[in-house]
Amino acid sequence: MPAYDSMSLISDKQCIIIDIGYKYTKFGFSGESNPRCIIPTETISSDTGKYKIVFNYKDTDELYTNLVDFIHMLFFKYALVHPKEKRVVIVESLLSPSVIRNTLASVLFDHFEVTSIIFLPSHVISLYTLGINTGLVVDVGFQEAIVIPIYEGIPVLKAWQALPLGSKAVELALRDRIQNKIKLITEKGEEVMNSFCLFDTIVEDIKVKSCFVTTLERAKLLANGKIPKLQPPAFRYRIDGSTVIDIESIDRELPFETLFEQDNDQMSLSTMILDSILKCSIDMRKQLAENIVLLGGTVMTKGFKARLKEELLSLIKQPKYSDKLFINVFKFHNPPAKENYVAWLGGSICGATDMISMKSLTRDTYCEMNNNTIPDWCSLTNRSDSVIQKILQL
Amino acid sequence: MAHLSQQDVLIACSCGSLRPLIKLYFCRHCIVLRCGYCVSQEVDSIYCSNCLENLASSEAKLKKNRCGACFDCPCCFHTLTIRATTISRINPPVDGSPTPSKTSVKNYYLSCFFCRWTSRDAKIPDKLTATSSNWPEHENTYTARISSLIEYFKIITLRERLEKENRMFLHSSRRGYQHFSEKFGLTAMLARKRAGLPPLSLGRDDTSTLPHIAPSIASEHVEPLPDDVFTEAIDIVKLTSLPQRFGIPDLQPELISNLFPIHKQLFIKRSQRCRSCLHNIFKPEYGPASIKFKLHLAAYYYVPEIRLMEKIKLKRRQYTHLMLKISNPAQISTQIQFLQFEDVTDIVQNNEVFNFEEKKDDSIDTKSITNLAPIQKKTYPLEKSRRITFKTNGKINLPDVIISLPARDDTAEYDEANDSDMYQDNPSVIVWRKGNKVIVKFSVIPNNDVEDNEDIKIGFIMRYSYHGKIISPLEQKGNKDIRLLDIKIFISIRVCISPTELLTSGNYQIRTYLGKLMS
Amino acid sequence: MELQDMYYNKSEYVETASGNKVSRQTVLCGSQNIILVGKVIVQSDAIVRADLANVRTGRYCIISKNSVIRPPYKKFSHGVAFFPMRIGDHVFIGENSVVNAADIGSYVYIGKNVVIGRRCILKDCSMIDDNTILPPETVVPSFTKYGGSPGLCIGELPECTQELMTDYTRSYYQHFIPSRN
Repeated sequence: MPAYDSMSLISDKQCIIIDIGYKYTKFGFSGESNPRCIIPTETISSDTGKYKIVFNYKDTDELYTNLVDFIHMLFFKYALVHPKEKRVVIVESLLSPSVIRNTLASVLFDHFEVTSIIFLPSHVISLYTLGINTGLVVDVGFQEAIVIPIYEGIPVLKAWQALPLGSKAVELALRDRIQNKIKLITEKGEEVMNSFCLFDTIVEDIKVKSCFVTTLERAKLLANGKIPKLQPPAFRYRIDGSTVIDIESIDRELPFETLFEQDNDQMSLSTMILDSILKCSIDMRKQLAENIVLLGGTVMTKGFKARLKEELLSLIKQPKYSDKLFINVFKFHNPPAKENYVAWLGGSICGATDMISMKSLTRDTYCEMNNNTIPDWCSLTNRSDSVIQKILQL
Repeated sequence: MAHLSQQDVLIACSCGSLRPLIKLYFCRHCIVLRCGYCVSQEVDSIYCSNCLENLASSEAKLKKNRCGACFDCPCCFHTLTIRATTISRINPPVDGSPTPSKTSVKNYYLSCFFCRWTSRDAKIPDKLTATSSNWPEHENTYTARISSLIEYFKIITLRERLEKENRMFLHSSRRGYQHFSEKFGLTAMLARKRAGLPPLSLGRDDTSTLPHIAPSIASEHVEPLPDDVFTEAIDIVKLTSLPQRFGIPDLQPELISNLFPIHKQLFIKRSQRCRSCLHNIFKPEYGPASIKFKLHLAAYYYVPEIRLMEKIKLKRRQYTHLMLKISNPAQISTQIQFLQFEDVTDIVQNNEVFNFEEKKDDSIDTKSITNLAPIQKKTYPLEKSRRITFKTNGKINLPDVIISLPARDDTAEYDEANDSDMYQDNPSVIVWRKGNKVIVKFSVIPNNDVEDNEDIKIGFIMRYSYHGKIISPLEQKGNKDIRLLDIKIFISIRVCISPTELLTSGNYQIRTYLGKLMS
Repeated sequence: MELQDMYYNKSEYVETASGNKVSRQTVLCGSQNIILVGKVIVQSDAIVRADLANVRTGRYCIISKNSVIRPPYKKFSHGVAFFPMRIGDHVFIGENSVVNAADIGSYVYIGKNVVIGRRCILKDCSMIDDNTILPPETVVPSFTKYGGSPGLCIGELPECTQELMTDYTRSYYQHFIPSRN
């Protein structure tokens, strides 16, 4: 009976919230204030026994196998629950490729037999953590930076901006700089090692511990080739007993400049934000500029927010924007979480509400769908509603 | 070490994935091989790896899947141990006694034996009792705010749902008293009361207190770059790395001095169940320390095992002898035959079709089932099977004999009798036999387009007779049924091909090997 | 892959009545405290410090070259006491390993160059990867594979590990034969 169905008791069942990023996955249960674990999105390949990134795949079959292995590990090592009777919430970027969504749905429904899945857009639900409806969401992750304005809960899709400016670019720049500074300490002295396989984890470690985002004026000096008077101290990073890397002062400041220096099209992280605001209608702009939300692990670097604000304030005065955008105030939000799991937290908040039972894609509906593709965000037909209406008419 | 992770002889499971024999299961009811992918895994029991204590699943949920008593070092993730130091304190003199008394008090703290981190580094005060349930926990500072947000959104979604129903009922053609009694009926009221929800107000337009949440306030002020970045020398040892930060996701401290001990993650024991017949394939015993099983249908006990005898060198355009050792693990003797892939195209046996294309199991028509038996559970289509992606680049010549292998007998190792006389073996095919093991000689030739230093991959089908009792109430017990099961074997030989090798070297290896066995 | 034959110099090894094959080049301190139940192989340059406490192995154990078996100790306020060490059946201890564990279960595989800290407990059917350092007082549960430094759980073992280890140690013993000359 439909009436009883809709007024059913709100159950205490917790659903599982997963935010699979390219580099790190945040995993936990609904209603909690922090994820249970943040783990690298890697599985052990059955052929070589080495770790490989889940999203480095050659074809859909390999992606399927990778996702099966990875989600198996999530369920049986971290969640310690049987996936069969659980509801799953997947937090994903609005720009994530369809093949990943469809494969993920297929893995979860066919292989793990979960009860229902709901895909939530990370940019929209991160506003839930703040209790606001409007905001300009800037997500700087590993692979790319995405800027999407959300107005009154609706993403303004025509104003999306995405550039491959993420931690990957920063680590690449850092790697180039330190590749020939690796030294081997022997009894005779130090010698430079030319062929040393610098693992990604080492580069990431150096970046996290020592690199920072410098101020705008220093950046301008460095770009002109001048060296400022006050420099961050250089240090020696030890890889193992006899291998060290001498990190210079410049190597600590410059890698993050890749995010802010303008490329050939004169685009950078700060221009992305202003371009996105420009593409929105005039009545939205002021509100968006005063509600900027920063997400993603890269945002947690020292000096990032200060630099971003400086850049925005200086760019707004330049001729490209000064006669179109009349904003002079930029305000940033402070979410109640560390920035690298804000999207997950939004999923956790949604997962604790009734929205899950109302809008999830259940396994029955999925099996009835012919081509097993999840409807896209822009799709106007809402399948679950139509199925319910069919049942009501019986 | 290599024997525990054998990758040279792979067997194709019924779903198409290639696994070594030790990782396959055998479903006795469907009489097919199953691998980790095509069984459904279930959580059997939850235990802590350090104290080896079993926990009920509800308790594990409450404790967030962490052990209450055991801690991990936040630096190196090794288990922490409780250590004690004795401090003797001099008490002030009590009335009546002139001399001060000494009391020795034991102070307990957590310490890591690997990286020497102690709880004193985290500024946790020492405790006076050794019980590990009182160590201070850190709280997430935002919990209150997040709970209020969740409450707010719960109320909003509930309202949305009620509005939706109102709209649906408005449009629906069913009106009348039935509608009212469903919405405002006694049972609905009771249900709402039980759920702890506010009672449904009778008015249509419900503009009573809208929930309110203080939205987050954006500010222009952002954290500036700290100046000590330029002045203070960086002490790389005192900074945390990313895995250490992720060990405490809500704090993510940057300095090692801010790290907190982490409760230990629990481990699980899994049980497996065949997806098609829903029978258990593997069920471990309850205790974490026990290695026995209630049910253990591993393929290792049912399927004859094939092993490569030794490393061989293959030559181009020439046949090389390959020795494979086959052993029968079952309690009943079996007959083995070898077939090429081409001879066996579509074998239909035991309701499964073995072929190389991707097969999609037909989804069972749910409507017809529900008409017949309304109580029957709804069935879902099974997972698509995978394509076997193993490209063979060699050819193997299979001997055309049927080899019979006796049952496995553990006492036979003490028996020195040579039982090759009992079986008439063709000595050019069966090189050696003892008990339930036999060594068979094959010849392999690599394809012409193979490069040097490439693995040679060959495949063939082993057909063996499986004796099993069908568990069916209709048939009599003890009715044995002999089925012929085909197992697809794929062997990859990691050798380097040397184009110029003497022809006799292969035979020399066989002769010396036999010589050792005979003596 | 089937194990290849391993030859040893007949004069170098002593074979006892119960089938133990002990090399003469080992350092067996306190040999009266060592109990080798049967079909145990102790290869050359191994060191067993049974002078500190009893060492008892089960059947079909293999102690490879250069390994050190030393019973663990515990510090008390009035000194140091050594615990007896128990090794179960069908255990393989790899080359160059240093084993201080208190209790090793049956069907355990210990790789090469492993250092097992004192008072560790290795349950049945576990495996320690090569080059692992297990810090003191680690408990390795059944059917897990530990590796790295410090030793952390890196994987799981298949369910038929018991059979595999039995088979491996038995065939190792059978292939460990004296050379002809």
